[in-house]
Amino acid sequence: MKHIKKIPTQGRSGFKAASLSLALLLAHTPVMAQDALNENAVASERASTSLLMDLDRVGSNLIAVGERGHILLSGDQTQSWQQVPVPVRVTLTASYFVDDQYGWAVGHDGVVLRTLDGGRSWQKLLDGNQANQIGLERAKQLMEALERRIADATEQEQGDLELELESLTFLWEDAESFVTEGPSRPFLDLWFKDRNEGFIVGAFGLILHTRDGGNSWEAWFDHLDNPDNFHLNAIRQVGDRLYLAAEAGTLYRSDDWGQSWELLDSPYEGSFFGVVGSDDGRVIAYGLRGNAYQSNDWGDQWAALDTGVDTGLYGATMLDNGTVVLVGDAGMSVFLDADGNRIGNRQTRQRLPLSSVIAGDNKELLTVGLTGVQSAPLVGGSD
Amino acid sequence: MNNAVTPSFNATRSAARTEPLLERFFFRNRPVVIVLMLLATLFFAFQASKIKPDASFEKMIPTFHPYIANYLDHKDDLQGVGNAIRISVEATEGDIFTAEFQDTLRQVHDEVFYIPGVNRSALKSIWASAVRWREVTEEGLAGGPVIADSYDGSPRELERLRANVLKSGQVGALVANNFKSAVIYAPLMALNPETGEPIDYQVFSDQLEQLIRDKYQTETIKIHITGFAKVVGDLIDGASQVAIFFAVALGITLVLLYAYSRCLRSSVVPLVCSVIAVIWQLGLLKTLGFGLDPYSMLVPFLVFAIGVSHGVQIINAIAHESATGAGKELAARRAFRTLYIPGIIALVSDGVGFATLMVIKIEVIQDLAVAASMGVAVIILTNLILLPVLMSYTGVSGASVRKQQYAEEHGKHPVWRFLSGFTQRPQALVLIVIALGLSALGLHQSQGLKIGDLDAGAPELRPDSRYNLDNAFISANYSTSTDIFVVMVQTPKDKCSAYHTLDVVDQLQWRLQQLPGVQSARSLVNHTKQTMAGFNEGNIKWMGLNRNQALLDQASIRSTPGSFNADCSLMPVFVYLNDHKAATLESVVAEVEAFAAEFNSDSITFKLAAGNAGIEAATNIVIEKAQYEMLIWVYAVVGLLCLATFRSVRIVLCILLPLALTSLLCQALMAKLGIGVKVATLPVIALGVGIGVDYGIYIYSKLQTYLNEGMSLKAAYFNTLKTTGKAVAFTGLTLGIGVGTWVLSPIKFQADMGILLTFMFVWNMIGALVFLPALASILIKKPASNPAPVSSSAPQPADHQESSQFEEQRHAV
Repeated sequence: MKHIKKIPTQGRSGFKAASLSLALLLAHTPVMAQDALNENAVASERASTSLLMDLDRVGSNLIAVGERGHILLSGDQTQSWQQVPVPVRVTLTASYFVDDQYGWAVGHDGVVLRTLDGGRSWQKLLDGNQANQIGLERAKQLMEALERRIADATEQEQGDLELELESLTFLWEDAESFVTEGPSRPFLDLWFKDRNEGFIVGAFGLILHTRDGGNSWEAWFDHLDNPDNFHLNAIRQVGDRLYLAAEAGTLYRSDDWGQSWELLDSPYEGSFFGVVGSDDGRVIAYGLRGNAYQSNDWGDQWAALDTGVDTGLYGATMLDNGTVVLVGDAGMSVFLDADGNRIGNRQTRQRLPLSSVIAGDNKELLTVGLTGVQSAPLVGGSD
Repeated sequence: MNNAVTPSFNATRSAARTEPLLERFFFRNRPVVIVLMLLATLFFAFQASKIKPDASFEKMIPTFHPYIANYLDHKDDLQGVGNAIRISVEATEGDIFTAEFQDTLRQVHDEVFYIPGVNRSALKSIWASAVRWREVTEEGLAGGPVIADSYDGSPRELERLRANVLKSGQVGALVANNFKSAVIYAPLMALNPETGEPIDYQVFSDQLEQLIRDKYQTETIKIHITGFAKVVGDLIDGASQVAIFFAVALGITLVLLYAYSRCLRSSVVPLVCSVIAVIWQLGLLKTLGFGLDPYSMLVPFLVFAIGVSHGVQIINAIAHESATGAGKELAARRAFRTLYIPGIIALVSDGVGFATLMVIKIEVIQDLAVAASMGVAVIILTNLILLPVLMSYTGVSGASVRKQQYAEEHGKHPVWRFLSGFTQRPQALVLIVIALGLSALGLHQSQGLKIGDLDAGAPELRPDSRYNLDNAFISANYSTSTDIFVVMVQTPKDKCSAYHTLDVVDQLQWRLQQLPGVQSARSLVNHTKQTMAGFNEGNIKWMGLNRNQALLDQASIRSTPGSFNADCSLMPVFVYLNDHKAATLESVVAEVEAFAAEFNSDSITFKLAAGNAGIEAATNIVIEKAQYEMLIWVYAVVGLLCLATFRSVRIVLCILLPLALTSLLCQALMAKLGIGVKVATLPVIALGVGIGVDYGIYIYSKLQTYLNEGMSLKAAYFNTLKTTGKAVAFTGLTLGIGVGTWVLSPIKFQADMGILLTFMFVWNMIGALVFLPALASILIKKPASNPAPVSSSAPQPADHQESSQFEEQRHAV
């Protein structure tokens, strides 16, 4: 493998260095009048065949979100799609519905949208500038609180608190530089408990919490141990637990609907892009380079799975019979039986990345990805 | 121009009466004239023998047009965007992942590398080290050349090659979707770096055939080659068969001339003189430094045709004179005397008409204008002077004279009698109504006339030609279209990767992708989005433009070469089209122009246009405008010359209106046959006007001569038909048949030209013989009230016989 030239991924440190140097150049970059954050998505015949990131059910409809603010509804199992008006034209990464009316979508530039009518109309709740401000306010609050505690503390306690303050200062500096940089951090996933309470997660440790359906948000980064601001790639409910799949093999679990998060022992140092599982404590975490791990005890112990692929896995669904379907780069799908054994693989004709997968009504698999929506029969997947 | 050319016929007739200066000059020095012309012919023949086919990409494009000017301005920043060839190497059994196939592919790649004219630094195939694969690992992005350094053809390495190909994103581009063929993409340079000369496409195309196709094509390997260089090479190869068609046309003309004149001498001499005209024209071209473009291959034939047309007039007049008893020299002199003025006027009209093609600022058309104008200028010397001088020695055969005498004295001339009836009111009106009906029909049909190419591939070549089959193979097996329209996005220095730039370009791309003819649009934006995902472990959710400028800048550095220029101030947007049909190109141009109007600012400017489709779009725009401009110029110039000659707007209308009908019907015919107006076909209508105006001028000047004699219109026309008209009818039919044989040409472009020229030769003839008299009867109110200046035309002895003969004719009618 000597011919392979390793190019380091653009890690967090590079990002910060870059943003600090930029901080000197551009103070607050005002959002220009013509900006993806405040221009409507363009209606297009080609929306259903261009990059789509997520696919969900809303009542009897299917809903897909993707590039350029595209949100599409289908009432006939992907036969036809109708694009709905959206007040932004940024790339949307995920959507989540709590019932057939209420739903949210998140995306690049820190955008959060909400629908109250099953996805037919959308309003913007938040953008990256506001998200950054919320983060900065929270960091400030925590610092002030800590400083007060230090002032009141005994000399013995102060030593420990000073250390805590130091790490909080780093966090605060990060929060400041994010504000300077503007709305550059995408939200990558979201989960809602009901019409009121939910979480949105994203790049560089972004996690926000709402109790009022998204009218107001609070920063939540201090509820989990993420000192390196790793990307929080996905949030998913399995049984009555919540899981966060994150960068560099990081996995979190919450038993109290997100109030507190436990860092799990990770079987892998590469990134996880998602988690899927069932009520009986079976959890599958999947990610970089075809890696997937299964736990049968809610994530305490993990075992590697044979996926038959070495390309990234970005989406997954579990069927009624316990079969798990994973999809990802190069149009690859992986089929695992209820025990986690590989049944087979399949590759799309275009060999282009897939982002998300759900089961259709008629024994078919519906996927979205770089070439839009695709539908393939569930049976027939093999090597 | 000689003074004798322009004055009205009333004046020239009197001049003609007294053995004009020119006649004296040429006929008193006949041996000198012949020797000088012979020497000139030898010289030009020598020159012509050295003439080479010549075609260049730059000549085919309107370099002055702002789009092309933009392209030329940024040509150095747009590597490999212009003229390129694609060589697809196909494994007819199995797929490309065998050691044998890869060995062949490597050899072809290396072979192409060394063909002079190939831009070596931009040569691409999976064997080029710049073609790389990329993947995300836990440590970051990994990548390497598709063909690994350790490649040795072993099964293990072939498996790795397959994996690398899949990771390279080249499936559908450099590797066929079905993995049964692979492409070598070779951008060409305008100049051959070894010689500094423009690339000789014929040589280049031959090299491709010999060094690639002949050498590597076997039972298991098939080679497919496409690209402008190959089209031109094939065109030139096919066009060299033009010599055969020329010979066929020569033979047909000779046979028909003999059948017409019953005199070998008066059949051979005009042919020889016409061939001499062609030799002179080709020799002159070479002497002046021109080459022979495959698109102007028809010009020599055109010169020959016009030469024959005038030659037939001369021998017809000589036969006529001989029939009246004149000796060899006198007959030739009299023929010269009566015809040199209308002949010169007609030829000058042709020449100036062709020269108006110069208004179209596309070099290949301008070259054609020069070639055609020179050709007709030469005919003045060869067929108006040399021909009668030669005939003054050879004379016409006795048989021919007797036939002519019999015809003139006893002929019933049912056709001519019928045609001369068209000068009478009711028939004339019927004809005018028919002509108006045809005009309406032509106008309606010509609405369907399209600009540009109407078919996929190379419409100049037959759909089943090897080139078009190769082209079809490549479009069927690869995803990337060969029809590429490039929009140049200009920004201040270092701003090509600015968020604002990328965001606006992304919007343009998306708008373009909404057009039905657009397959996809790609640029730095796509690379950046992909690299954003790459920077974030390949996660597809990051596949978007991030507002972190430092990340965008880093992403741009990683993008493929050619995504932007050296100082990051220009970014090409590649728009891949379904085809290069005019409608497709128009829609792209309109969308980009509208977008530019909305978004152009100090920080970003959208400039049209490069890429083969962009250049064709500009060419189409120029041609669409030029086709009418050209017609206006041709008709204006020819009209003015006719006006100067005949001093009557009505007469000019008599001559030009039938031509206009032909032009209109020719457009309708083009629409009907699916022939688009493009660089290759644009000149044909102007050439048609040039051919047709001869007929009108000859006929009307003869008609006027008789009218001035005091004859009725009908009688004058009957006599005109018997002499000049007969020659016109003969010429039209003969040349029509000659050009008609082109339909059999292997080159579709030539076959199309054959159909169009045949149509125009024949229809111009019909127009001159049928519609001209009808128009004359309506427009020329009282020919008798506009009498010849009888006082000044007291019959001279030399003319007496002629006049008395006219009197007889008049009685006979």
